[in-house]
Amino acid sequence: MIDASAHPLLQLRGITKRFPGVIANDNVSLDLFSGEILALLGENGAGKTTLMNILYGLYMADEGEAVLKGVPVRIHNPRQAIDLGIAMVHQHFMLIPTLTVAENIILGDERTRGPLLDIQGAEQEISELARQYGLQIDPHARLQDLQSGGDWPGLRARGSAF
Amino acid sequence: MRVRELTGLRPWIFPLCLLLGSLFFGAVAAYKAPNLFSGPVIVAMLAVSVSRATPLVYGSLSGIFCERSGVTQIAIEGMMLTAAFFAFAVQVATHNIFIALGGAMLAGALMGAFHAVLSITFQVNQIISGTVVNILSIGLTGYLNRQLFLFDQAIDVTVFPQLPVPVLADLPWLGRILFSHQPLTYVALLLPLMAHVWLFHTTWGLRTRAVGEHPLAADTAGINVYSIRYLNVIVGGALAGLGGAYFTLESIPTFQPLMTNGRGFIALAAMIFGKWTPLGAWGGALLFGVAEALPVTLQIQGVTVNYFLVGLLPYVLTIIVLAGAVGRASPPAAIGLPYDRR
Repeated sequence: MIDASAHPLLQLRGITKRFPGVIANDNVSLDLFSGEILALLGENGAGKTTLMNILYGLYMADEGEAVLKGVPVRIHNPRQAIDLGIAMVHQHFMLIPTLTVAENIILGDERTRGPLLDIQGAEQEISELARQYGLQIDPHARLQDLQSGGDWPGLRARGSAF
Repeated sequence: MRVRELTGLRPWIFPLCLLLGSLFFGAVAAYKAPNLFSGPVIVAMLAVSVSRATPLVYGSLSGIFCERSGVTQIAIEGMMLTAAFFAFAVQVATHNIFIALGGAMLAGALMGAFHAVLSITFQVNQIISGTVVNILSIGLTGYLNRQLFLFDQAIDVTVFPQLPVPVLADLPWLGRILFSHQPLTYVALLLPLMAHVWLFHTTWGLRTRAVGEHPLAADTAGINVYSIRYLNVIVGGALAGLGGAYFTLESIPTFQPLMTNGRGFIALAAMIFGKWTPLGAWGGALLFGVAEALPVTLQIQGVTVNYFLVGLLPYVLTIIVLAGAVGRASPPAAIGLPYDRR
């Protein structure tokens, strides 16, 4: 499937990120091709998450650049990353306990009916998706009221489902 | 259950307040002035309560706008005082009460912007930033008032007139309590409902709650934490400005140093009483409004209870609320914490 002669979909070139007292990424480069699934392996503190956070705009690299479809991009924030088609499923839950399941999922990409949020529409769609994948999710439940481990994993699909 | 969901309050709190209030009222009435228990007196007192609650409503909503986005708002008092002064000063300059109202909102918004710059951009401790605004406002308004108006005898300014709502004002009881007020009070009766819809049913409101609970999660969802916080603190300042306008455009047509007299902090207590929900804060503001109207009513009725003692009621109530008598306060999780992404 991978055509080696094709241009990489995404390139990271010479990414360096320093935190006070530690170099998290030291001149890291990688190529990612269309259709490829790439795993970064490394022990704790190797800098995997830092690299992904840089790609997602949560951190700014001190040196180096990202090239997306041949065009150098400077990603300043997650909004920009999302708009460029980069989604991230975080290691730790990036979810808000006081909001409902539906509110957590639509956050950042809200659909509205007139001036108001279309929560009901979102809840219906989530219920349907959940049924499709055999998940037990009540979209109207607050996250803090759910059993962690039991009901939560389905929410990891957040980045990909919507 | 519904009450709790909407206001964050335990449902029994309202009947309890009513019961305590009427017990106190009844005791005083039986003891000093039997007249106090009559319908017209109670209606008059409730009407005064609604009016007195006005700055508290604006103030508590100001707190909700700021604190729901994660910025501590103890500067309601200072923003109100500044706005009260500028409402007066602008009216003196322009003789137009509507421009004066705009001036009050602008003054509040500017104080809000100042608080925002300090606490969001420069990440100053937000309690200190709020204290800076409070102290600055006392100095600023005191100085300008002295420089501009101390020896000026011929100041011609006015307050908003009473505007009874046609038909509704003629309703028995309710007409007097709700429908015979000045404009800022009417707006204060509607604003909590609008704020409720805003906070729980709009994109901006949802993002506000997200940013105040877990800014990193909101950021990863593509929300600009800084712009939401700036916007909310500035709008919160403008709301406090409307509350300040009450003092010089509705209450009395003149400015006096320190005239807000702690109302900003009582508004803060009303917000906490309502667990950071607009409808709950509204209930809190009305309760404090009753506490403020009570001494006035007693005085008018010629009850010889020490005025200053009864006048302490709102402040004592504030202490009780802030000490947690209303149940565990559950502020937004990220309150007071500057957001820093590196």
